[in-house]
Amino acid sequence: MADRPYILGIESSCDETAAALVTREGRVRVSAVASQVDLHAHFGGVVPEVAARMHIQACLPLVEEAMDDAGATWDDIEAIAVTSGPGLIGCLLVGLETAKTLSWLRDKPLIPVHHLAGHLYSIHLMPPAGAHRLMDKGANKPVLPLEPDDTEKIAATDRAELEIGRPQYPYVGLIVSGGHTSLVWVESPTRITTVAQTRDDAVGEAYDKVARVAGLGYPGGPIIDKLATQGRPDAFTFTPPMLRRDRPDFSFSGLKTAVGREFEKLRAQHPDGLPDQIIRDVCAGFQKAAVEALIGKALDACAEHGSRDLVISGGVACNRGLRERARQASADRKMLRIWFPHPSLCTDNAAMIAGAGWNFKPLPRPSALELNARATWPIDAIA
Amino acid sequence: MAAPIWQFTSTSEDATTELGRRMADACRGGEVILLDGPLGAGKTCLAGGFAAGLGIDEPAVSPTFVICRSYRGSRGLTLHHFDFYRLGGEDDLDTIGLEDCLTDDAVVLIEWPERCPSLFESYTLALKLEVVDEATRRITAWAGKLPVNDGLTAAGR
Repeated sequence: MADRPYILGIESSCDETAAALVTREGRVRVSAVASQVDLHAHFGGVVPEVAARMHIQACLPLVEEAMDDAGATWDDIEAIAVTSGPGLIGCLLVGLETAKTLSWLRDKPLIPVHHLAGHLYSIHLMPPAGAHRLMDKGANKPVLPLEPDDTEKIAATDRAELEIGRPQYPYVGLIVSGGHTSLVWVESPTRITTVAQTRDDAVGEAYDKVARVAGLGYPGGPIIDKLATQGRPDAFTFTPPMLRRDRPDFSFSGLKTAVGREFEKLRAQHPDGLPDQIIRDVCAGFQKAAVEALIGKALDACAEHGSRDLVISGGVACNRGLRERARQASADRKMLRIWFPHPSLCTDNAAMIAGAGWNFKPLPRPSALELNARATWPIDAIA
Repeated sequence: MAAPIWQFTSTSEDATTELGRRMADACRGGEVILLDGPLGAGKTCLAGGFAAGLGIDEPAVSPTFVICRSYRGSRGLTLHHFDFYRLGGEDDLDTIGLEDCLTDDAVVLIEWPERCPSLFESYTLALKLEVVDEATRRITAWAGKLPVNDGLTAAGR
């Protein structure tokens, strides 16, 4: 691959439809995301059938929009990268079939990209001013313009590295979202080994379910995060799950249950409605325990692997409590740098897919058409 | 509703896990088992024991996000673990491939079955899990229209 400046990325694995153009160097020319969050809030979660239908409506217009915004023509597109798994099968298929059709029509190589490898790769991206945005479904209007390259940098031992710094392979990655909670050892964009994962619920799922029990709305993560910052983290204490060294995996089902039952108990004590401060306090206690489990295990993994960098990505990486705890941890450990992508690159987007796509293997045309979506695709099986 | 075929009182997570394991031991393929109960009633523990009983050596991770997770057990039976938590209703059943999972060499576990009432009766066992107190759970089983073998009848007695 040589002359053409961009890979076009397409993502539709869950409830965001997205298209983006990214250069080989990782500069994001444009990243458009259409979210279905409002739509699914009504149901307290993603509804697969509804999601797939919305993806169909949004996908092609987003691609055209991204191309227009970049002032790009198909001559400027080196290849098309698409999330082929893991995710909701009906949703994945919409992006994949769109990408296959465009690849055939425009005679472009097709690059299947692993969704979680994309999440990790987002730390290597540089979003330009004004090009990165979120859009309301169907409304095609930017709702959140972002600043230039404000990829969040937490700590560095070396000033020079801070200026131009990126994490150096190999490093430990923590992927946290509604569907995933994995600690991984990252040797290259495509060579990734699982160190630990959840035995039951993903951390984002625990947030969603706790929010549902507490009647707080959907998605649970941002709501609980906000309430937690206004609460006292030690008013209600919950045990951070699975912090024992002999159990490498995460577990959030027990914590979710403990918090849910605490809410039920408190509601019985306050038949006229739970005071807001109590809700905030329980959220703060829950968040503290969840964050402690994530950071505790991640720090253990860094120590074990002798990693100097820890990259935290995925939707839950937007969580303020998690970022703040990581800030403390890196301040305590001079040799460890902890990295978070910009929040807009943590949640699902296509820039991470296009960026990672430069490192994944393109498929020749005949086999590209036979490519299938994979609801489950172990990250260890990419290469 | 008809009389339950058994009622099991669990006093620990281990006991709930063990019940799941006993039920899996009794399965021969083609069973559909519904799990209904609030947060913390033991659905995760029971499913974990069930998977272990089928000889699946990886953890039975929550299927909420992907709707269904499938595993091949060492006894030759496949476990399809569904969670209907996110489904909007009956229409969604067509899109998640449940029909394809109802085979003689597979066992289907379904959490949050009440999201799809058309399943009513076309199951082997319907389990209701209730929280009695901090440690105690009451697990009640009703038979559906699919045949229940002696092992499943005995599992909770």
